[in-house]
Amino acid sequence: MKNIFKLMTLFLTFFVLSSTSTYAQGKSQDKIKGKKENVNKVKDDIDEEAEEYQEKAKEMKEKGKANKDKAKDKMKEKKEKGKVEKDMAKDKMKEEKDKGNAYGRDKGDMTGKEFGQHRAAMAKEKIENSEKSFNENEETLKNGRAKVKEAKEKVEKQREDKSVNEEILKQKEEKISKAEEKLNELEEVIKKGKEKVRKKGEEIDKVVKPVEN
Amino acid sequence: MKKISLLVMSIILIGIVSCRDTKKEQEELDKTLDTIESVEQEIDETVEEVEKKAEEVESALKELDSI
Repeated sequence: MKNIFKLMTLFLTFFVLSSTSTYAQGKSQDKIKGKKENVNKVKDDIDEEAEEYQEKAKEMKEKGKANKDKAKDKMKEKKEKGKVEKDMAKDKMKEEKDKGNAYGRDKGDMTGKEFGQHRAAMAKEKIENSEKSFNENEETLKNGRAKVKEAKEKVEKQREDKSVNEEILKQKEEKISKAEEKLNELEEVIKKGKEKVRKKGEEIDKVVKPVEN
Repeated sequence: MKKISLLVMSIILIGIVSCRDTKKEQEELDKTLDTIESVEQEIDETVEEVEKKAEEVESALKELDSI
């Protein structure tokens, strides 16, 4: 009897333990299931968000493309407009140049002598401007000479160092020679131009007599 | 009557002299303007030539930047 009782207690204990374990296991499985669901939910959310972003990116890309096209069109339009304006300005200049004689001979209220003086003053202003232009170009000439000198020294140094291939050095020297040649040409043109302008200034002085007041 | 004709003659004479002067003045002015215009044109051409050469120089100097 005692043995039977012992056996029943053992059986009961085993049963209780087993059911608790099953319950715990079930609970844990539920928990895992819940977590899994949560993970899936988060995953879905992320997917949805990713899709949204992708769509947005696509939209932005399309918008960007449209804007780019628009900008391109605008640029093209502006370029064409600029060209038209440039042509118009050119035509106007040509027209004014053609008109030059008429404008240059419209005395208005001035007497012949006064008008002659006025036109001579305009010509002298032109001479002054041309002298300014020559001076500016002389500055370019001066800077150019310095640049050529610098380049020559650089090439010479590279040749001494043997850091650059001889063929490349020759190409560089050709570029320097070309620049030097152009500088010499500019110097000559400026010299001749200055002389010409000086003579023309004298010519103007000769033809225009001062107005007697 | 004599005085009137003298006056008329004087007016005609003044008129003729005045017209001659105007014509001469106009001729002189035209000559001056021709000279001025030719000078202006030559100056424009000279400046243009110098500017063109300066552009060529600048382009050749730019090539030296890569040296």
